[in-house]
Amino acid sequence: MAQYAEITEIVAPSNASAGSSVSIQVKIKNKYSTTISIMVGGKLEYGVSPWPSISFPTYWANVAAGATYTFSGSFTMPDYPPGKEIIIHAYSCWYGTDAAWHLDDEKTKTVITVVPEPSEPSLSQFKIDDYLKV
Amino acid sequence: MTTKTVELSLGPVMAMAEPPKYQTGWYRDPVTGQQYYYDALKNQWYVYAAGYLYALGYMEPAPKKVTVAPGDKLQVILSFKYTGPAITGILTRYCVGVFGAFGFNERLSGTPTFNVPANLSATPVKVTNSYTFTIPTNVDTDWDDIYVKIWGGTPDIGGTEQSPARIFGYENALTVVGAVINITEFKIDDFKKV
Repeated sequence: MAQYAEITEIVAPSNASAGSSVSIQVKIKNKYSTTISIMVGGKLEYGVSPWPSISFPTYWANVAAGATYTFSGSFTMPDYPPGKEIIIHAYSCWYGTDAAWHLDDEKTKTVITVVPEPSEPSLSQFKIDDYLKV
Repeated sequence: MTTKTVELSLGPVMAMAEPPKYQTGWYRDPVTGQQYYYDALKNQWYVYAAGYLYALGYMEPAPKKVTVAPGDKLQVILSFKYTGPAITGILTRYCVGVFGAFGFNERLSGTPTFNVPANLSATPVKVTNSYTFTIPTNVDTDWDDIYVKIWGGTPDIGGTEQSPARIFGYENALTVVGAVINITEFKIDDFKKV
């Protein structure tokens, strides 16, 4: 149960192909009575740790009382077998009067690895590469 | 079929600062009446004759000459860069023959099919295929041009045998030797009492 920085939602696709860039959003609500600084963090959980982090270009913000802030991030879908689950694990922190960040809430969302959709054939630079007596 | 008239006459040569950009479609030379088809996607012109389309400008000067004689084996290797799903059964036609004003006179040909593995990355990979000719005893010295074309497959790369998806050739690629009887310097070499 979150004290001040509640993760209300993780927005992410339900599946993605290996190597594709996946965009996510983590929505965090300020449950306190005044504006506080809130920070987001995240990791991908799959296979054996250590797990890679999720990139959030803007990873903290001053959030008004009762407001929800949406943090945008992304990661590259790992090269994992189709059908396997990748777990997005998001964390929230709030900044206290003790000048320290306090870990508060966490939430997970699953993304399943899928086989990428086949694209159209694309040919270029067609030529006779060589010709020789054999 | 919509026929359009080409603005530029293909008879007298005109100097242009920059060639015009044509859309895909049919064109007719106003001087000769010859019909042409242009594929803007492939940047390829075709001349229409007797129900067939023949690609123009697909032959290039050969980078080297390979000498062949009857009984020799000549391997021709095609290549292209590829991205996309796996393809099965691409049709090919490899030819040795004579290229002239009326197109390519095929004297030897081979028609293998081949498959291409999938490449779903953004970086094209090189794909190759080859065919080996056996030079016959009835080869003529002017069989010195080669070309290859591809079409079809599943999924389809497009084209037909007459209007292939890709075509490429080299002029004057071969030197044919040993094909005809060649006698020189015939003389009486010596005469003496024995």
